[in-house]
Amino acid sequence: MAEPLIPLLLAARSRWMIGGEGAAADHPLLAAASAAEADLRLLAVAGQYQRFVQTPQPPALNLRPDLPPLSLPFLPDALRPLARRLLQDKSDRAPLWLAIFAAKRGHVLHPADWMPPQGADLPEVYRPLQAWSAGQTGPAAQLSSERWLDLSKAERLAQFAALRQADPATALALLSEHLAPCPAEERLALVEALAVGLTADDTAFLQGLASDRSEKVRKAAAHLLARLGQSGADPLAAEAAAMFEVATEGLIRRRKVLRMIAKAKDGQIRSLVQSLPEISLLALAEALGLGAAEFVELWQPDKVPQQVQYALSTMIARTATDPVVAAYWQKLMAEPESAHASLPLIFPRLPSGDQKAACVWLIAQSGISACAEIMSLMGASVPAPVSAALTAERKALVDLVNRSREIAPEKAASARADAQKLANVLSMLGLLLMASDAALVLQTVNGAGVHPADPMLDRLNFNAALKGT
Amino acid sequence: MLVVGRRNLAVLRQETIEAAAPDQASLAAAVKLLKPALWSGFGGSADGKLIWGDCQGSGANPYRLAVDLDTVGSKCTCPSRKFPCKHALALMLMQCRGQAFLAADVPPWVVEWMGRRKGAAIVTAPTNNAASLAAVVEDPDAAPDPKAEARREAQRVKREAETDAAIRAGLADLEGWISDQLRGGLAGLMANLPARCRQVAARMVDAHIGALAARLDELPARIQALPAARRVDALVAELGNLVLMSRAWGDGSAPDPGLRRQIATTEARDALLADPSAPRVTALWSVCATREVTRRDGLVAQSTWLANQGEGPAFALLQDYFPASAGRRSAAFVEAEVFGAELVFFPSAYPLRAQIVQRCIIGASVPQPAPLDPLDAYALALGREPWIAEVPLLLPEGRLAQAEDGAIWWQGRARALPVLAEDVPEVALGLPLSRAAMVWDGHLGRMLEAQTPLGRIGFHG
Repeated sequence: MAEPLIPLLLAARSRWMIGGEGAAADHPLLAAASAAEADLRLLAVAGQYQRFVQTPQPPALNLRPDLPPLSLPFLPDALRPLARRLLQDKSDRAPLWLAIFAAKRGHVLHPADWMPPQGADLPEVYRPLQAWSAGQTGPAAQLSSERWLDLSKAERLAQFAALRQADPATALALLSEHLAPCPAEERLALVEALAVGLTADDTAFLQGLASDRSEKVRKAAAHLLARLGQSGADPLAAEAAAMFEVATEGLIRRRKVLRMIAKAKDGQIRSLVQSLPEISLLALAEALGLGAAEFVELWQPDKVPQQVQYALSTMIARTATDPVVAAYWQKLMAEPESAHASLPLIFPRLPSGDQKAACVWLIAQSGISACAEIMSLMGASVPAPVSAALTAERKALVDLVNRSREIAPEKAASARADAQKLANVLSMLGLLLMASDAALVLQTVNGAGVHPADPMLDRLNFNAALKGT
Repeated sequence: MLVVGRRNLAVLRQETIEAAAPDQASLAAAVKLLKPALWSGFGGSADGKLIWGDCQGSGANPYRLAVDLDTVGSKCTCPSRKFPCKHALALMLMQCRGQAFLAADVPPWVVEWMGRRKGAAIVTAPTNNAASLAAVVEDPDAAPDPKAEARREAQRVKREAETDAAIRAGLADLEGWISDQLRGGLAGLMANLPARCRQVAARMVDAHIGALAARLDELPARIQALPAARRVDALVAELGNLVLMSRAWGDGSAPDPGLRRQIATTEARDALLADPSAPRVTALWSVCATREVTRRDGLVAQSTWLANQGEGPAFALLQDYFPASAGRRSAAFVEAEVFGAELVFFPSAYPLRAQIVQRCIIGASVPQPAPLDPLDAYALALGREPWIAEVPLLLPEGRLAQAEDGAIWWQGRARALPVLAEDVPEVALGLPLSRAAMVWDGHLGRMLEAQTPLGRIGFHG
């Protein structure tokens, strides 16, 4: 009787692994076959057996829960191909900017086009997707005492920042409970996050950090206390105060001014530049017998070296109260160069109205090129006045278009640079402007000869088409 | 509906096209392409500066081409090194002769081209070439020469006989090689798979067994994509397939046309169109997936998987090969695009590869229901063509899930199948799949597309 085929195949498979000649077998398939021929016939049948009969058997499978619902609608289908093309640009946080921009317009990017990365600082609407991706089940829970240790450092920090914004008191209570065991670097970041929604209610907690084991944390707490108008004696402040003098000026010497001492040596100036960011405005002003507001009022920004001015801006941004910071910025604007350099330091401390005005001022100073700084200051989708001010400068784009098309060989290099600049500016504007302003800019550059389908207009096209909900 | 064309300026003049042509031969070839049946997808930008269209060339995937009417710049996905190529010249001629281009959104591939060609010089000045349309029109077709025809036919018959003899010898050599591997042990072969496959593939190339050589060359990559525990079985299966193909070829006197294609070469488009045994199917087709893979032999395999939205074969594959040195092409289709077309399938026991005969307008239809067990289609394919390398499967309702070892499986009610994890976007793990498509090779599936509550998801391998 013929041998059954399957055991023959299995035996042959084992033998083929190590090699060697096969023994004769009694099966019609192998009739009148040499050893090599028998192996080839068995191999042909084994191939079919493996491919069809022996299909892979699944191990235990982990079924992920369904994607969570999101609180905003997905992008309209018609815009998804354009969004996908924009998402191919992975440079400089481009996908995150696009996600933030879309959220500000009331939409979320489709998760099939883009999944928000873990720990990325994104609008709240993406949080359920981030939680799903991290394997968390159920609705995305808020940061709580129980969940504190479940999160990664980056997630904890991001969620703490969000909580502080939404509910400062709960955030403070949570921090009081959990700060001590955190490593110094994380303690510093968490304490610095208290700057948002800072009130007198935080005083006691911040005072308690005067004995923290990290000097950086102690200093950060002292800076926040200074913002609340509390400052202790500081020998470094007294030392810095020696570099300034309160004097009188004018014909009858009735105008009081604050200025640097005339005979300051280079070494003293270097030392002052290092110490100013470490001390508080209040301590410095008190060492000079002034109040903080009076210090700013008497200060003459046009009469100090740039580096001292920058260090002073750092100090004020870190330690001055909100009204003093606003007054300082008003004064600084008279000195555009200093103001320009200090704006990134001061900007986060300005109230929203002053922030808009500062952006408009910046546009008046730098024209359309200000868009890059505005992007870094305000992020995607700026308020109407800023959008309008940028749009008003759009004629400059026409010059850029013309210069970028210069074909004279001697101007080729500058034409390439202008083409790159044009692409950068248009790309930036695409994430900044309001939809109607984006349409105006598109009209302008199209009129200047840029083809509507040119990919450098992709962001502007996306912007103009995503009118918001 | 706005029609871009004569009203909106930018109508090309005949002299401009003649000046742009690289030579007279290109112009003559372009004139031969002025047949409406070869063209589809005409469109133009609303400002009248760009036109585009698809031209069915000698490949399975149509060439996509665009012309910038301002600068007479052009882009075509054909591999020609001439610029502009005959297809671009033909599109220009069609515009010049009054072809309507419906205003439409500029397709993404044209936008990408626009971005890459910034600063392109305007080419409107006459060049030194003497290409002339008048010469093309006046040049009569050469009269057939019966003696030359007979000579060519005799040479063809002789060449075929030599090729068949080489194939027979090559297949015998292949069987000998396989016997040697079995005698020496597959463990040794596994340890040195890429080098040994490369060696035997080179011998097969010498024996005019090009298609089989490519399959051997790609074998190591396919095996190594599998979990370690399944590699030996996959190797046994593939070696067994090679034996089957060799035996089915026999003395080569009457090989199955599908087998000839898998061993040696594929018929040219003209031969396929002239073949009465090649099945033709007119239906609504949706583009499941487009893939472009650079093979070890230096060819780029461009594949477009089409799903039939009506009756007839569930899938069709438009397959082209071009040298990698010709540069990357844009995909010929946008995924999820749906179009009506008559397809001609290469004759085979299990027809799959096809070419587009012509586009046509087809009304909406209901897609075929997916079988409960997707491997039914695989069994059918193996039954008809046992050596078939991979088979597209329609998957019923199911879900993708992850195993402890990170492997991803498609799980339906009747069966679960492992899929290539690197193709699967994370989002697909969180959605029920109401219907999906994959390509299955007996060991591992490659997902093509899936329908979900959030719409279609593509798997971009």
